Amino acid sequence: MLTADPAWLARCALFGGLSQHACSQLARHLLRVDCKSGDTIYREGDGASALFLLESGRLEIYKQHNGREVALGELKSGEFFGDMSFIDMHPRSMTVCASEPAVIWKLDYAALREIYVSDLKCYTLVVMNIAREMSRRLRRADRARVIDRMSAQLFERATGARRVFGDVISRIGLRGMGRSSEDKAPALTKSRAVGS
Amino acid sequence: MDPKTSLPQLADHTLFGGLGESCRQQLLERLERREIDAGEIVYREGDIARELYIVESGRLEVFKPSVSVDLVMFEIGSGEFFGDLSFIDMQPRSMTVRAGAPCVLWRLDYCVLREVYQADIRSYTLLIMNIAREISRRLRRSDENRIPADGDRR
Repeated sequence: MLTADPAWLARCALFGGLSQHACSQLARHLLRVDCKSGDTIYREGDGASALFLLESGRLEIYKQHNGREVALGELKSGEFFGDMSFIDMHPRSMTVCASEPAVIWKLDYAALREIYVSDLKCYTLVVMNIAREMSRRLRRADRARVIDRMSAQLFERATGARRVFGDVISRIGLRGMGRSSEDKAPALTKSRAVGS
Repeated sequence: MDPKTSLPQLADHTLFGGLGESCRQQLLERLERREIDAGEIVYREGDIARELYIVESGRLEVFKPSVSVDLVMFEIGSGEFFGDLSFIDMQPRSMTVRAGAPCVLWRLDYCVLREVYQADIRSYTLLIMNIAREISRRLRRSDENRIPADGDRR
């Protein structure tokens, strides 16, 4: 049976801070999965029983929105996924598919709970690493929301400015710009006539 | 009023869920009560601190200073906790928190958690799990709300 390289595991964020020895113990719990392009690792809404570590290849994340699937990004080598359900026991929040052949390592939640019994320190570190990664993701999501809101605010101001600016132009146009505002002039003259 | 009178309710807080009685008591004794007025800043974006706050009463706004008006991103009410991201990942505060009304907060410093780690690693792990569960909840909600309008259709 193929096992994961402990030296590589030690470099993954999921196992950060763990000794090489702890990583070789963990390697025994990891199951290698070879994905073909187009394979689905799991679907949004599925019950969850394992988390995964991407060694090589490309995985894409999708989420249902208004009845269609929207791509939300890619996973890079060394990243882990499927960890949220381990923490909160809720179903999968997203779909993960291979966009090209990929090698992933599967770690069953049950195996992780066994580590809780056999090596509590190791388990605690892994949980801490998961929490830290989720914190990073939440910061990133918050940042994206701030950028969305800021650009909406700027857009609103720009639209407001354009409205004011357009108003000024059309008034100047009425008085002195002559031909350039010809097509607008009749309507404005007319509305003025109605007003007076 | 005895400032500790509110502790019994705090003992049932989700943050302490699953903890043994003695560990829970030890933690409650180490919480620091902080009363703040409406408009007062609890912490600012960029501040470096490893502490989280439990809201006993009041209301707070989490905001990002912006071009003309501050962008209020979240509201926090009584029973909730905040400041947990820096608590977990040791990064500076990502946003500013201001009281929207007079508040009573309870502050938990990470050094207390380190003591828990040394004394009882099981309880420490439980606490981290409880915080992570809250982060997970917010992450799921955030994922639900943020779908790029121009995302690729599959």
